[in-house]
Amino acid sequence: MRKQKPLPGVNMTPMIDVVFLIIIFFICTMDLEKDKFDEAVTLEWARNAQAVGQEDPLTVTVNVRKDGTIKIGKRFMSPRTFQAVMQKTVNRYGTGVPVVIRGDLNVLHEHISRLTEVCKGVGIWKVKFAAIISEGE
Amino acid sequence: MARRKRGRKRRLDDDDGGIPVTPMIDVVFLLLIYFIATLEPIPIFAHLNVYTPSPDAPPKEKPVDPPSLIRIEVHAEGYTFDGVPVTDRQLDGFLGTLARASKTQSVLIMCSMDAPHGKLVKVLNFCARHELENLSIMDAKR
Repeated sequence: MRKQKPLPGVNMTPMIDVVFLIIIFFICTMDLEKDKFDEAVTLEWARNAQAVGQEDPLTVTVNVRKDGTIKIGKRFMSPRTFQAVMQKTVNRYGTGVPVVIRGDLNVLHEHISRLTEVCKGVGIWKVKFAAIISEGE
Repeated sequence: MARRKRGRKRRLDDDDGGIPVTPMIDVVFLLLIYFIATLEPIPIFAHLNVYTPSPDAPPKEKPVDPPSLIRIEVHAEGYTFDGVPVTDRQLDGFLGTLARASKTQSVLIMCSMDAPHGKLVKVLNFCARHELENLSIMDAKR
């Protein structure tokens, strides 16, 4: 009987290298700030506005749902609590803290106006409205 | 001596002595599949400024010939441009004409409390399109 030659094994090392690189890429590009965007808020389109560049790390993002519910991060709050939060923020970081209001396109202006009034009341002057330019690629 | 060395090498190459990498590769592949499956396109956002003067900003010098103020009203039903009801398209056109004359033209946007926020953002978007910068937003009281 003729002796069979052992089959050469597949070299796994380059593939594992590539897989690790892909995982590192995914981990690095993972959006850890996803919590600040409320999925229930549908933004209005503003295709002509400038895209957000480097954002101030102190930026406070406030979500306002269709029914006027206020949400910062994962926390729902009443207008009174919002005022207390903003006052605390101003006491700690000053009045230059930017506030981005992510209002639902169908929320009544009175709910948005209430927030801008609170900001104005505590001395915050950098107030912005969020809109969407593109769904992404 | 040579025979002993060869024997040691054979022992090191043995599968029994090495670290088993198969479970690690399984986990790595699972992670990769998870990341690919949960991959979502990242939307591009814009931040439209609501112009409020900074408390530290120096007071603006008064222009010699103050420009007339254009007033846009945002209602639940639609818009008015200097008191005349207009459609989205007409408003965009008017703002374009205005911007061609002067980009520093002051525009006062008055928003009714019952108007949806999307309508106000739309006006700000039109202003951004025509690079009108001198905007003020006010609440129209009922």
